[in-house]
Amino acid sequence: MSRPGFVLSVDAQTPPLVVFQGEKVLLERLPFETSVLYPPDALPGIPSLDAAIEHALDAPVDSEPLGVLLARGSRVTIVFEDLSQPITSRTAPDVRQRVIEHVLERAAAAGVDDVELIAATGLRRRLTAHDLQRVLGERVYASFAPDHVRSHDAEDEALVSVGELADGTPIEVNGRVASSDLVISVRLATAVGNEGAAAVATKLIGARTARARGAFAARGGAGTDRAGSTARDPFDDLVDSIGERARVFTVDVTLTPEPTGPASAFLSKREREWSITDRALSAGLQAATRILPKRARVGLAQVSGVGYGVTSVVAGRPSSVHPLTEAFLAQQQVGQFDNPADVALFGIPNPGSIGSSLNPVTAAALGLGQIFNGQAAEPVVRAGGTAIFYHPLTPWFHPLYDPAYIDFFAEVLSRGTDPAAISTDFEEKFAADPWYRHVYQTSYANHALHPFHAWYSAAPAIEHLGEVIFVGGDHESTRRLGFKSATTLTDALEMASDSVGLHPSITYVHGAPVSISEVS
Amino acid sequence: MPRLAMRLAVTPSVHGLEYVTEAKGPFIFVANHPSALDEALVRDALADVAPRLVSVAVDPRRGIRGLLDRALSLRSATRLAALLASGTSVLLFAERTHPDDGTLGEFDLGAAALGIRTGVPIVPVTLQGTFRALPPWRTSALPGRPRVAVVFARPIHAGRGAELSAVTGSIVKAITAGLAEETLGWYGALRSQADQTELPREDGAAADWRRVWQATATPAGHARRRVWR
Repeated sequence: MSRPGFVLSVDAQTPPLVVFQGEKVLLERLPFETSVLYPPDALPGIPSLDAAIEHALDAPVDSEPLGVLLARGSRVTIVFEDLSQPITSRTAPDVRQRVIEHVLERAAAAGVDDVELIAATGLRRRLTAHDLQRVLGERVYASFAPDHVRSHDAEDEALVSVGELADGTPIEVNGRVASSDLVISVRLATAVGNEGAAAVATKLIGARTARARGAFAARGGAGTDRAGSTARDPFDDLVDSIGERARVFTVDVTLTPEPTGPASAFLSKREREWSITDRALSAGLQAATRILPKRARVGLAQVSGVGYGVTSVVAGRPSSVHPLTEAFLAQQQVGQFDNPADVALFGIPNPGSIGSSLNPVTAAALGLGQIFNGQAAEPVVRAGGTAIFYHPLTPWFHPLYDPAYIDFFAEVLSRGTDPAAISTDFEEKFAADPWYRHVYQTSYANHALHPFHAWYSAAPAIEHLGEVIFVGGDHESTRRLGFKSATTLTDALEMASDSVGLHPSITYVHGAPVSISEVS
Repeated sequence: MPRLAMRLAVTPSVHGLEYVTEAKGPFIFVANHPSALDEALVRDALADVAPRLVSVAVDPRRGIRGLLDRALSLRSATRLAALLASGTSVLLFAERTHPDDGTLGEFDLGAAALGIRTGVPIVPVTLQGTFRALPPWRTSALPGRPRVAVVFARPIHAGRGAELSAVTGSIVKAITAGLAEETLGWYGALRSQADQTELPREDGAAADWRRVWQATATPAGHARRRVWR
């Protein structure tokens, strides 16, 4: 059991606290009596990963051992998490590679020849050959490339219908997956308290299904994430098997919530407990941030994040494994805190594995996702309160990955930010545009629906909050997103005083958010 | 210095090092020995994992290295067991003879015996492409920094009472699979081993020149992508 999280009340003795702001790391003095929510310390990593994986595969939960499920001549598809989860190590092989190697060794021993590896990308961009090599390792990649390792294609013509959504839209999934005898899904979970949907099929659906499932109307407006809708999710039938043939065997790996590399570990420590080395590293980081140009600062995050520790490996029947993983992850949440505050502060870093700045739409969705899917189980800010985020919101978009985001930002958000209006006026146009489809299928662009779903995922939080202020945010792009920008925290609090008064209660959620929630 | 020279001469890649880094040492590394580059390559790969590493070849070495081996009595199993007990890892080139044609020789049972006696995990190591990079008739490596690979297999834990020949068999199996990776790919090598099909090992009866020819052939695949055809 690791040290539990706690709430610190800022007083005169409290040192400046670490706040992430894009590629910068600030040390901010917060107003007195601000409550600082520290998450529990990371659980210790597993010392011998190989032994843990072997044990998980040979003694799975509610399932025969993997070796028994694999039969000579069977059709096997290995589905793995894509880059929405971080590359877990820059020096040693990625955890996905370690698990997949064990799986393939058993498949080879059982005499399986028909193996294919598919990245469960949902509507995200395809993985480049380099990405695939980083995730799978050179040996696995070389054994299956170029024909038997690929990313899921939501616009593929060979999708297979395996059910129906509530509105009658067929659930179309990847043809290879549906026609397999055994689907082995390798999943990583860093998101605190939330592994995502139980069914891996949600990341292997076609664009039509994804559009109906992610439509703003289907989300039911605000607060559905935590409220738990009573309607039955048709994907519940696709947890343990996909279609009539494919049986799913899952391997869930949970990671420590934050990178545990020696260079960046101090960022998740409590500031009062910093050693001399930590202080020196912090001073070095501050100096580097001041001196280096922006591009180089992005690289700095790449160097400092070294690796994630693995805290558990569980394999078996997905419907039995998923609750275990969720319960395990819930231990890492901040359990109790006082009443929801008037003002909540959040720092938003650039996730190290992305290797470039976040575009403003993704950054806003990531930040607002913290309200309902953050470190704490409940929103830390009251309804109608103010959320203050630290992010520059620079209007920069990756030219290869984000063509749809560029147009979404320039054409759609400039007309209005209401998700319901956006959904009726623009979604069809983007979804039907052959150019976006072309760059999604042949280049490495995110699907045209991706920015829409990102924006819809932020909608419940925007509705919950009275005001959203970005400290250090680019004035124009913050305005376009419908938020306000402030230069400093003091300014932001001054701006918020109209709605929350001059002496609001403030909560700062310490540490980095861990995932871009719920955007497939 | 030899490591720097080696890095300038060839392009090494290392696979499977994570099997070793997670466990605690010491280890007995058992490798094939096709060329003079081998020791430097393995030492380079293991620089962080096993900084204290003693290497011994079953086929006695000549010259000063041979005298040094004898002076330190490195060829005695008792001495090696004492070294392992003190935390020093051992690298054994366990082929009885050192064939000058790049093929895999017959393995000595000594490595397995040492593993059984001391209980230290045995790690089979395959050296790929080193014969092609530095064949015995050359004094320096081929120009163009040829690719070589050091492939570590999963450690074999030989407890007391394990069969000598069985442990040696699994070492040879792992090294043969490592060599087959070059032509069949990683999964292909695993599959053919599971099917007990004949791995493309050089035929012992074939003429010497054919074996050398095969061992120095440019491997298929990994072709550089061309813009102009």
